[in-house]
Amino acid sequence: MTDIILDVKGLYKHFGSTCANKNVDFSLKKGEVRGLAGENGSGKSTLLSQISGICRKDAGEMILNGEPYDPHSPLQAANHKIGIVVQELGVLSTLPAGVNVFAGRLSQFTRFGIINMSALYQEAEKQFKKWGLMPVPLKKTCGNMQIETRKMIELARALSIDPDLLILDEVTQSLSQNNRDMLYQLIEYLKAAGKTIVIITHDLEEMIRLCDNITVLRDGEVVGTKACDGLEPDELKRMMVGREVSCAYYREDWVPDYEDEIVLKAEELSVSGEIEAVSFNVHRGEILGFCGLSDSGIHTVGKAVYGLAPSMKGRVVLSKKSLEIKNAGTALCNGMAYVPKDRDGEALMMQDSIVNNFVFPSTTSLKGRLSFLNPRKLRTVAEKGIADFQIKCSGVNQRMDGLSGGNKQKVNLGRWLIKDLDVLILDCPTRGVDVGVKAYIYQLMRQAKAQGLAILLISDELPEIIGMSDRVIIMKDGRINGEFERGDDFIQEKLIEVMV
Amino acid sequence: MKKERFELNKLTPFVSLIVMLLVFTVLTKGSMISPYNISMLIDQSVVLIIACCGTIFVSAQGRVDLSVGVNCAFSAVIGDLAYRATGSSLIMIVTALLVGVGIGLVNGMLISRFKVPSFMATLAILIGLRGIVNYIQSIASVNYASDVIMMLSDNQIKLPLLILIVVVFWYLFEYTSLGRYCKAIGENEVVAYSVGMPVGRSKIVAYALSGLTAAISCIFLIARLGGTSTTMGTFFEMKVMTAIYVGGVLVRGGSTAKMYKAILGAFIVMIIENGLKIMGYASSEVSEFVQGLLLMVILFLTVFFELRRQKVKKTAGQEA
Repeated sequence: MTDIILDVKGLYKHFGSTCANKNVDFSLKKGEVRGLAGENGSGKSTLLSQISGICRKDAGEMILNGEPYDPHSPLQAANHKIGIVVQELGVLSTLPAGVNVFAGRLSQFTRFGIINMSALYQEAEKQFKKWGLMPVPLKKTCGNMQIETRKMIELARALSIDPDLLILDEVTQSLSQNNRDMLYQLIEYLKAAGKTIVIITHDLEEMIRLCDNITVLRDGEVVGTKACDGLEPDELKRMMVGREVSCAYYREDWVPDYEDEIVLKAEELSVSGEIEAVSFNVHRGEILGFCGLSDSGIHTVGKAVYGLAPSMKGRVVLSKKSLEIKNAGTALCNGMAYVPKDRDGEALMMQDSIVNNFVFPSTTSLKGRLSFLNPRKLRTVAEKGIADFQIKCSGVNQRMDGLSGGNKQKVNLGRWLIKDLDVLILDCPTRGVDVGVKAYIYQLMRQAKAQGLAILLISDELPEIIGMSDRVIIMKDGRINGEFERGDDFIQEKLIEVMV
Repeated sequence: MKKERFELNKLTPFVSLIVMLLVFTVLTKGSMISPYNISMLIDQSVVLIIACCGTIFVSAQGRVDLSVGVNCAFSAVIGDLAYRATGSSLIMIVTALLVGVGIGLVNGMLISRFKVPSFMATLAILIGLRGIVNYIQSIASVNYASDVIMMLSDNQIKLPLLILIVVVFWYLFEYTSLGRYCKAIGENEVVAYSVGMPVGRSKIVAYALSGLTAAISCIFLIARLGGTSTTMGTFFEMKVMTAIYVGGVLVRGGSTAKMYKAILGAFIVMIIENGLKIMGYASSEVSEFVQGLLLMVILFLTVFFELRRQKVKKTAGQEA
């Protein structure tokens, strides 16, 4: 037997008039960790979708372990021992976590049409233990769980089939540092066991560190495959974009730079079970970073500041008007903006048009006489936004779910930045976007900072926090565990030390 | 960049309306579009159109208001009682409208404050109020409408009023933030909430508007029937919902909810009913069966075109 597990030859896939995969050749060795790099829309996810049976190929062939392979459902792929964790959230939110682990494969627990739930939960727990995953409440429904927890469930589902080929499509981005470390170990372990792993991540350094080889896609075609030894991220970027990427990524200054004026004060914020006695000030023109492990409560802080935690104790005060923010409505009308982590679920109306999404937070300020919302005016605002923020789309009436991740995020950010803001709360603003858009978002943040906005940057990615913030607050178990100013101490090791 | 696609699903209500009109014109050998019948048709549609104008706010949120029919009857009998007590038609109208809005507010409170699913909340109101209506009518004999109310059956007064009501509600629904909030709630309630929209208030206002139009339609209904009756408003809520869905609004609401769809839908429902009546199937088993069948076909096509549009867009844009 050869040591090639999967061989893809001449794969084509069209979506309408768009060609998502063009003559793709791709082969994987046993025990190999392969990275797939490319900008948003370069066809990475499409390629993996076809391998894992989520969508079917138009032309070309796939050979798995020497035999022709053409799955028409993820279940069939699972039978061939191919497991996938998809980029978009892939759990059934109304079912308990344990059932989600075995979704579609419940027959093993079924006798006479009745599912033996206790056996299922036991087996699910066993899977979590076996792979060393963060334990999750298996009997709770997934709907209210955090993204990270849901990703764990998906990971357990993919691993429970004991896969020979595991596909991880942008998994690390939703995870915090401790779970990332867990995942890295898991990858090492699987690799040692001779399993093959395919990874997509926008964090190129991470990809180079983890992978043996990286295949770069551009516009649906394979540009080339490189061995990771000695590969520089810049070279990878060049291959992805097809030209030199020269934009400044993070901030280059190493001193804190903000005005003395306090814009927003948070006093003793507590949300039971999530955060406790969190107090801080944000100044004009400051980027205040928040980081911490999962369960540290950083995401809840963002929600609480924007008035989205009804059971919160403590006060959030806008200093200029000495106004207390009690609900999101007050926040919205007083120059605050909130960009949630779960873009598709909490921020954008996926089935609605770009224009409706774009003008949504500005509805009150666009009102004319008799609260008239002039459709033409709304359209102009959205068209200007599309031009200003370089959003790639077919027009303002295109539906949101037709846009790529990066463009969705541009709509999501742009619609707030057109407003006259004082405070901007960003929860993982670069989650699931490629290098180009990421750089663009950082540029927007720098502009906003220069205009004097106070920015709360909540992020799971330490390099991002270090690269952008003036001050960083580190949280642990819902409490503030440390605070750093931009300067010599601003390095990953020191921050992690306080996080754990 | 792709050209913006012309959207077929926007046309479905127009097409259904025209096809239904043609089919029944042929089947009734032309009497469908006789001037007399057209004026009859419009006359019959008035009540339904008015009720649709308010209920669309609820439908846009992806919710239902099953209490429209009973609200109509309840406002009528209470208004009637007020008329008997005072002898003033004005007081009767005001009472009826207040009662209608009141019931709407109760619905809205149940749904937004106490998180009762709209189907259950309005179903409970439907059953409970129907009992009260029947009780009141069993002790107070059937009454006849006053002269002032009867003036509303005159087309010269009725139609301008109808147009006024439609214009006001159209404006509210399509060109103000209220309509936008309702649609946003239908699209994704979490998003509306996270952005900071007044979600709870919008729900209450939507149900209040639905109650208001139910009460307005009850006054027009009294004028048409010449008084209140025990069966007044039964199945009316179903007719209103049918009109809205047949017009092309999806049950999930959101941006698919459009005022023109509700109004066209009301006409489609009335054309089917009226056409079958002319053909001599009035209130027979055949009539209801055929109505059901036709509505099913139209609803199927509406959903089919909408889904196909989604599919085309989704696959075309997924990685683009």
